[in-house]
Amino acid sequence: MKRLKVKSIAVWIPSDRVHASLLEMGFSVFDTATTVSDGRFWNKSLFVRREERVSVSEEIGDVYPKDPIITICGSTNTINEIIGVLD
Amino acid sequence: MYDDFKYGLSTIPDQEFEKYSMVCDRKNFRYTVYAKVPFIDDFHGRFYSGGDALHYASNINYPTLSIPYYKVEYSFNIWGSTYLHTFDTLFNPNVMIEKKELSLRMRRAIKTKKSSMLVHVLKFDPPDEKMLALNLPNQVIIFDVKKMSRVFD
Repeated sequence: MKRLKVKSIAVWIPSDRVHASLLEMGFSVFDTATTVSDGRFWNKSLFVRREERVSVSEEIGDVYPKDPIITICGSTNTINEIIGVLD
Repeated sequence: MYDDFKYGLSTIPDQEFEKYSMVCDRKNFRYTVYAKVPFIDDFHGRFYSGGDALHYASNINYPTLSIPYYKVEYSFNIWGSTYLHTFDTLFNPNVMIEKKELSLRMRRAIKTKKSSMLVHVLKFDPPDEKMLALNLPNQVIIFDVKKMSRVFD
């Protein structure tokens, strides 16, 4: 079993493009949910590829700018690959 | 699991409200929400006729139809202090059309004599447990915590 690391980043890319990039990399959508923290609503999508997980959270409602937060729980290679693609 | 009227259809953002748009309507955020069609709220076992108010703008704290949610609480013990991080995860609405037995009240509301017919059904699916997990690195964590409670042994 690979040793997994965690990395969380915010990107200035629309969440749709982030989702498309993850799907191209072989991740699949596990589930989506709406979470609420401090009265702010977030749309959270969870992607999985074997034991690796990536969650993409974007605030919904009247907020600007939209900067999805990506939390990667994966190998160092996967983390670098995702950061490279989204950079 | 909580279902304490904390979340109602009038006060959720448009993007979340769209998931309910098959059965209800509102003019804008924080406006009164009305049923568009007769439907059964399967989770609470209630029936609503078309035009019924589901969340009054004048009674914003007490929605008629409440959205259930999981309250998730993580606590971290660092150097004798306990830090709390909490968030709620809403149940996912799922609108289906099903053949249902109709009660007398439902038959009157729909104006039919049939004992069963196709009707919209609103279901709430709980989010998967994996959606509630926080993956934390074992190195340095920068965590925005608002609540701290001290624990003295």
